[in-house]
Amino acid sequence: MLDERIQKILLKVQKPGRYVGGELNSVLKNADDVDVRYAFCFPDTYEIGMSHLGMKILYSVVNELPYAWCERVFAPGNDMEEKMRENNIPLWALESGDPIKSFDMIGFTLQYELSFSNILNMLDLAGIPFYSKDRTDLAPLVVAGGPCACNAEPIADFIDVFMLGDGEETTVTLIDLVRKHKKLGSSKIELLREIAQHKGFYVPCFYDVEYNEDCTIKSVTSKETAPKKAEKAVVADMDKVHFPEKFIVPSIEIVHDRVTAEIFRGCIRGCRFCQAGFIYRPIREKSAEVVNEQCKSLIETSGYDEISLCSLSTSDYTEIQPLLNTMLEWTSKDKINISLPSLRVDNFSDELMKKLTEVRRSGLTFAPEAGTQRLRDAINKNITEDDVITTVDKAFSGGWTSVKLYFMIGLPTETPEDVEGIAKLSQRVVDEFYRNPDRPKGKGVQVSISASSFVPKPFTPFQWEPQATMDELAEKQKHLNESVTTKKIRISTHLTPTSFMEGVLARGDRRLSKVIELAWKKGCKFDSWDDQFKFDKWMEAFDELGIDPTFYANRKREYDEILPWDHLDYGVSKQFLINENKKAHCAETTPHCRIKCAGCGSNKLNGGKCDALCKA
Amino acid sequence: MRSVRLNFSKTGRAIYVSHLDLTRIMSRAIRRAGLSMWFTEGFNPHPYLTFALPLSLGQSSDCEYMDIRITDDMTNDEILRRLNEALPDGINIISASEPKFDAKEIEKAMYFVKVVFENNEQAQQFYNTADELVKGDELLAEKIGKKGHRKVKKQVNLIDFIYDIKFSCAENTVNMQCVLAAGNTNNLNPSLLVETIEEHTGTEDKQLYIVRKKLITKNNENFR
Repeated sequence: MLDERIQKILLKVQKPGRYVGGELNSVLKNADDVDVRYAFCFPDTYEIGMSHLGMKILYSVVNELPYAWCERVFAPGNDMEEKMRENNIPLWALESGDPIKSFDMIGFTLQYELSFSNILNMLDLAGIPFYSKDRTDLAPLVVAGGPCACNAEPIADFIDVFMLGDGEETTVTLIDLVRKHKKLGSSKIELLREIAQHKGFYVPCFYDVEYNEDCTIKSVTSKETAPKKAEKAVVADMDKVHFPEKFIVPSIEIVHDRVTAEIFRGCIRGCRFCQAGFIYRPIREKSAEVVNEQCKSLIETSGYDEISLCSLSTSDYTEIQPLLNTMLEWTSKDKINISLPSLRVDNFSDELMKKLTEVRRSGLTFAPEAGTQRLRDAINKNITEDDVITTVDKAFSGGWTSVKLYFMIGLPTETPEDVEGIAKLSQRVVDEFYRNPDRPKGKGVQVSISASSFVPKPFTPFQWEPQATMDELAEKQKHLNESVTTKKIRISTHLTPTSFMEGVLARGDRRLSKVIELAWKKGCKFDSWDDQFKFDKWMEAFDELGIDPTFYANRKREYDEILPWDHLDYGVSKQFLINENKKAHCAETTPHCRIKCAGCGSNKLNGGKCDALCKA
Repeated sequence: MRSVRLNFSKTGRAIYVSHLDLTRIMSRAIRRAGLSMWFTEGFNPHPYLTFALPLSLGQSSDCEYMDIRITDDMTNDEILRRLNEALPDGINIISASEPKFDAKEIEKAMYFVKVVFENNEQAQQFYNTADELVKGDELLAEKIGKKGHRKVKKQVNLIDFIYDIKFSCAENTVNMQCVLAAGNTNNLNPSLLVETIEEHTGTEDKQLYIVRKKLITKNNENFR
């Protein structure tokens, strides 16, 4: 159902397969037979968006409903955008080829802060006004969800409704409410009033923000039907919650071209820098039986030859061994590879390693995060240097000759010694290889270090911390590079202006809407792509509007300051985060949730239940 | 183990799938179809499949060929039925049979080409010049060839690669039916031919449709 006008430009752009739809297992419905048409937008390219598990789940959740049709929309590449604008072709949805402007609901998934400018660009391509207040009709309702919804204040003026937390159930609630009010012929405000009464939704226009003279927030007041604090939604039972039997199988290669199965949500670790580790709490595991069945079905319907078992820390899954045993019964016969991202060095067993190499050997990545024990304790990583060495040793004995290690620089309390520690630890890994009598013979070792720049995020114990300035980060990167003396260690780092912008947007407030709009007008989009990021344009926008970006990135907040996201409730209590922050400054660790409940408070949104306690 | 040659078409949306992506689509379809495939025995085992002649992105075809090796006694009809159920929109298996020729024997291919212009005059202009050009002795074009692993530009005379060519013109469209050199040694992509003619006529097409109709062997037999 490709529009003829679209067909004409397809062969004039790169990777036309991104724009044609019709992939295996994509869902076609008759537009006249459904009440609600939903455009699920991923504000990045097709290859990135199609790799995202959340989109696959929610696509399937909506399309299970006979009265609704969910279609996919991605950000077109620059060449395609140019052709679209030249030929007046508005942004369309892949399944029907229809312009999304006529849809009932348009949803954006917020996976990273640097995609915000793409949201505006997509709205513009669709011909939809940016500001919620300028869209007075019932349709299209512009909604958004995903991890960055936990502080979506910078885009709060653009979005009508945010979905907080797990989306499987709230998406259905929202579709049902849109359907009901469409039938009633309600006004937009009537719809919003009802949405705001349900758990898991945040309607930003029902919250008034007042500022102090120093630009900090004076107060946030809820009005209309909105609760004082908007609570995130929590799926109680991971075994019963909807999970797709089929994935759309893209016809062109995407970033993660494989079956992805989630094994649990939440994390027991409590690493203090990690936003995901707090906002996805409490821990809820899927049973091994259910995971196995879901993987089987997905392999059968997709034809993929690789399964990735994903979670925030895969080796912490209580049933990891039984799961792998059951799965290997059928996967090794069919030459299907199982990959386990997010492994920890303190529970990587020989057995686990053997299972990983059954079909094909994939890369090994571990994340010590910091170079010295003191700093690892401050961030509550809870691993020792011996853990790292023992694990890489196992890997070298098992035939690996390269490992990847993730670190961060710019962490709170970091000293030059901590940065040198990254180089020292990596050197120890190299030395360990040559000391290992069982290492693969005749081969050298390659240790790849990824040293990303730490960005403080909302709902973490570091939410009050100043981010290291660009100059400081550059200095640390330089120091790290100089500390490494062998070519066996390869270092990659992030661009410091990118990390700075991420930091600004992550803890920004509503005053940033204007900045994002102006930056977009100046040509900013695809900010997470190094080759497209226009830092000078962003700075121009801040400058012209008289807003200081370092106020958001590099300023230390006091515990009693009202933070832009304080009116959202993600379960984890502020007092818990304060305690954790204080412990960080004394390099004091907190044991993981299975050893002792740390009392984070997140289980209150799940009827008091947390699998870290039940499944210990 | 036996080899099966699958003749398939690539049309509609599937023309936007590159050759590399096509190989991935095929190996996934084979898995979904539940065929017992012979796997390569290397470091990274994968089902064995090989294609007669890759097709350029954007072109459609009724004469694509892929060989697979299966390890059980499933009938060709069953293979065809199962694969068609497993394939995405635009790729359709037409027949499954025992391979007759080696892919090395392919020498030429037949194409139907439709060149659409902004107006009738441009089409007429293209038509007039094209007919003359292909009747001449020399039609030079730059081709990117390979010297070892390096890519090098070289001048080629396209006339050497044209076996047969007929033009017709109706309103704003020129139709071209041609047999061009195809295969590993000599190959002429119809889009390069059209492009070269356009350099001479100074016209620019609005839309170019290319369909590959037949693969032909050295002995002038249809490849199968």
